Amino acid sequence: MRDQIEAAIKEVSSVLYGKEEAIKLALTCLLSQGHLLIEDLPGMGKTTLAHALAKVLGLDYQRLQFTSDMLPADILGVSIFDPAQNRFEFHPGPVFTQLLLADEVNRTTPKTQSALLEAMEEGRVSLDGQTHQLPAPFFVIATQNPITQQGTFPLPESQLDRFLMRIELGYPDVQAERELLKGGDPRQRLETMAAVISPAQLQAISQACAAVKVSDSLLDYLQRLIAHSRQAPEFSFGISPRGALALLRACRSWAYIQGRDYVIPEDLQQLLGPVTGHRLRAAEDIGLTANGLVQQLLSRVDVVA
Amino acid sequence: MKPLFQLARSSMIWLLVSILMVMAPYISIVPSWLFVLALLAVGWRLMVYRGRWSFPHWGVRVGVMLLVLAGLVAELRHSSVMVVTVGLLIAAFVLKLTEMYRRRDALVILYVAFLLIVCSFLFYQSIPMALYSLLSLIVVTACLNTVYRSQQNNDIWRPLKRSAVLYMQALPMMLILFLIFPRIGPLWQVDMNSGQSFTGLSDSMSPGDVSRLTRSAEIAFRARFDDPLPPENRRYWRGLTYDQFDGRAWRRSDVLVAQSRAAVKSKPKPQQTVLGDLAPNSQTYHYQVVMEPTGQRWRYGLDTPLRYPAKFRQIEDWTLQEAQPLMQRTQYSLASRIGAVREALSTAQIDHYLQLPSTGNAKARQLAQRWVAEQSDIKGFTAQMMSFFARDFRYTLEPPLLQQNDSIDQFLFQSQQGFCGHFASAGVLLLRAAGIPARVVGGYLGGEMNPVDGVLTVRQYEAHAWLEYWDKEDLSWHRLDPTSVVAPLRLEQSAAQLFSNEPSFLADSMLMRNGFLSGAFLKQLRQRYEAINYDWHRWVLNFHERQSGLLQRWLGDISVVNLLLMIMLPGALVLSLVAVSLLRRRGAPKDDVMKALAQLDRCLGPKQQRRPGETVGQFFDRLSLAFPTLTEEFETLSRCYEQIRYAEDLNPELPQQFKAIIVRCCPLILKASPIDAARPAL
Repeated sequence: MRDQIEAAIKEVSSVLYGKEEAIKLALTCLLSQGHLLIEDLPGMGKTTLAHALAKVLGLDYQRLQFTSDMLPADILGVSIFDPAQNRFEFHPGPVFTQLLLADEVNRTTPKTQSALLEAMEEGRVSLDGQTHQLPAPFFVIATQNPITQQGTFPLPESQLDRFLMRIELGYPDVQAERELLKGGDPRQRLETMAAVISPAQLQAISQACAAVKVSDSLLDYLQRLIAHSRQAPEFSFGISPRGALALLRACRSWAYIQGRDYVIPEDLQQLLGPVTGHRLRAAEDIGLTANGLVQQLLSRVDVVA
Repeated sequence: MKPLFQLARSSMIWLLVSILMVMAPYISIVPSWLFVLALLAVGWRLMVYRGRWSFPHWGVRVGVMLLVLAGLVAELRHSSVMVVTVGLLIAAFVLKLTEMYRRRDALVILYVAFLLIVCSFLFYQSIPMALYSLLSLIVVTACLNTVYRSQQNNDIWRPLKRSAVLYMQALPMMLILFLIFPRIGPLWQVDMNSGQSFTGLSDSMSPGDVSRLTRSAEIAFRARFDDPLPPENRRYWRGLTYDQFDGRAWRRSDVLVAQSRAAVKSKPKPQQTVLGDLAPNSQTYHYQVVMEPTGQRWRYGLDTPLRYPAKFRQIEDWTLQEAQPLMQRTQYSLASRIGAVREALSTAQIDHYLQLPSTGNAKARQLAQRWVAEQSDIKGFTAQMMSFFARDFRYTLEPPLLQQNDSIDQFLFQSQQGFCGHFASAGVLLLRAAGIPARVVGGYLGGEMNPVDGVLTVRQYEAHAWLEYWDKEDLSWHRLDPTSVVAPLRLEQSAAQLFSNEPSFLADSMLMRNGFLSGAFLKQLRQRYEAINYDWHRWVLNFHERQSGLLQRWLGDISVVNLLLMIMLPGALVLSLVAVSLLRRRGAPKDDVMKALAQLDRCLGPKQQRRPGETVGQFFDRLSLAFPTLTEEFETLSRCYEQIRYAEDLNPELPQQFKAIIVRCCPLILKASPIDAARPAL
């Protein structure tokens, strides 16, 4: 099954040059049954990544561009009266898909945001007293522009918490950029991409990931990290139990992708930023970004004991 | 725009309270316009805090500072340098409020507040002041606490409580330091009392001075006797003698002070020699004196002091002198004898004690000559003089004013009323006119016994003057107190009782006159307070004298080494306890792998050791770069560790292998010089 993962990574890399790390992280997130939030400037390949992942994993794919005048019904669907049958007919919205790309999720109003986030958490949609189950698997890859940009409604902490990871793509390096410029727009290739992993295989891989071993030494280290984040004055609040569980889940998948059946501290260090960066907040007047905060946490806590 | 640091509301309140509390003790010391300045500054800062006004322009601030400086310089004319310096500190302290932009500025204000609390002890050292300072300390510390908290935290009473708890916790430490820490003398001293006036005797006496003292109930000194007290009529506390008369006032000549009795002391057995010279069967009294500042060099002692501290010297008239004027309350131990002092006078000394102005007071001189003619010896002369005083004279604190010239004639033959000073100076004039060496003695008579602690308190209104004459027949100085025949009660009762009908007595302290002395309960209360106060001076303010004895008892000998040990041993003990507890926290039960890793760390040295945030894998990767020859070993170690710790491979050979490799690598590492890992590998 690892071959398939590697093939999938290679396939996605062929449309998103030089971003292997981000691709692996995104895949880790999906293998851990978590939703992914990509935060970056426009034009960095957020949509391409999401689209390519959907193709490679052979999932239904819907793209939803969030705007400020969007309403919950635009996402969830709407019941329309059918005069012929004399009853209301539910017309499912774009959320009824396996992989939803929610583009620029922070450009819409909190009301619409929470409609999506509720669906993410519950895996179903309740409308007019009826509950509609969402397909399984159901992933959301949301993108958002940096909150410093105009016309954004920042997601509150409680809703950020629904995303397993938040990653950034960043500019490609020189070599990747050159390849990109030479090869033309890789997005044309997206249409022709074939699925590498079937949904059934995906299920199996997910189960294998969950079986990755976590030793006591590693749990000790994780607990030291958590304790430090809760006690140190530079944190306004520490890592929650949900955050810790999410971190461990992601670590298992990451270790699996790396070809190991046990988790090592390097995995934890690699994933601490993406998994907890959006769940932590620095205390006032510290002048640290989420990333700096995580790096500081890592440098202060002893790995061994 | 730079963001303005805004104090939390509780912080602001405590800051203003601190400022007012810290300044309050200075209200009667520094010029009052400083307080107006303080109120203005506080008001301005409040308006800034409320957002109504902005901070004053820098020009305004500079202007105000210049004005303040000018004001303080002008103040120098009638205040001491010390007061002006403290005034400057206060001015800077309150003006800093108007430029408090950052937390740092608030801290500066608070630190100066601590300094001002300390400075207040330059002026007051009483118990209430010490308690007040403690309160101020707690408030300022509470404020310091609030400054460091976030702005949202607006609890007002919590910081105060916390600060009080802090001081409670510091109390044992304070007591230990108080008890054992040696008082180190100041490196420099400021004469802070220049300009300050003292109540008390001065080195010249014109008849009228003592009446000024009877208006004051201030304490002159206190004494505690080891033995029973001397009888009331023998409690003559000698301060200084006046040996020169210029026709108007009596003065102490410099010659008298210049001659020290060191010569007597340098004899083989000085104490015995002196004792033998004294009148027989007189008892020796041992006692301690706590003397209030006088700004003078003389020290009070009962009659003739025999034993006295080494820093004192005894001058020719048997009174005690110290090199420096007394600016602070001080304590000393003495042993005295009461009675005549036997001493042979040289011809020069006899002439000295017979000195009189060539003219003036002619009638008095005639009287003396007549008595000499009538009497055969000195005893008869003095007896006749005393009976003369006893017959015609009246004792009063408000005698009629005497004219400038021939004042003693006027006193002896016209007014015939006065008090001790008049009698003593007239008596000495008569004696000298008769060719008998004599001198006026200034000091105190009596003292009030406090039944609570057995301390004798001598107040300014007990100031007294009497005379001494030298009898050439037994070669001794004899005390003669004309007051004892004019107003015998003065010797038997306390001065307070005797004078209580005199309108001028205690005219300056109505509280003492009307309230304090009248009610028995109040009197008891006052005595109790004074007992506490006495102990405060003895045990707290002057503790260093007692303390050296304490140290000596503990250490045997006060040497630098002993003192250092004294300070360092407890410190070392505390630090080692801390170290042990820290080490114990680090040292969770270690298995072989941990020990091996620690061994590797040790031979790597501080530069190459594993850093806390570094995983073992990263650590060995880095070592591979630093020691390229051992790359293979490090890779194995890394793999081993991963297997043992994270894959939970229970193969018992793995830890053994891990250990063996490290044992093998360590000597090689010690020999090899590491390649700087910070440099990028090429």
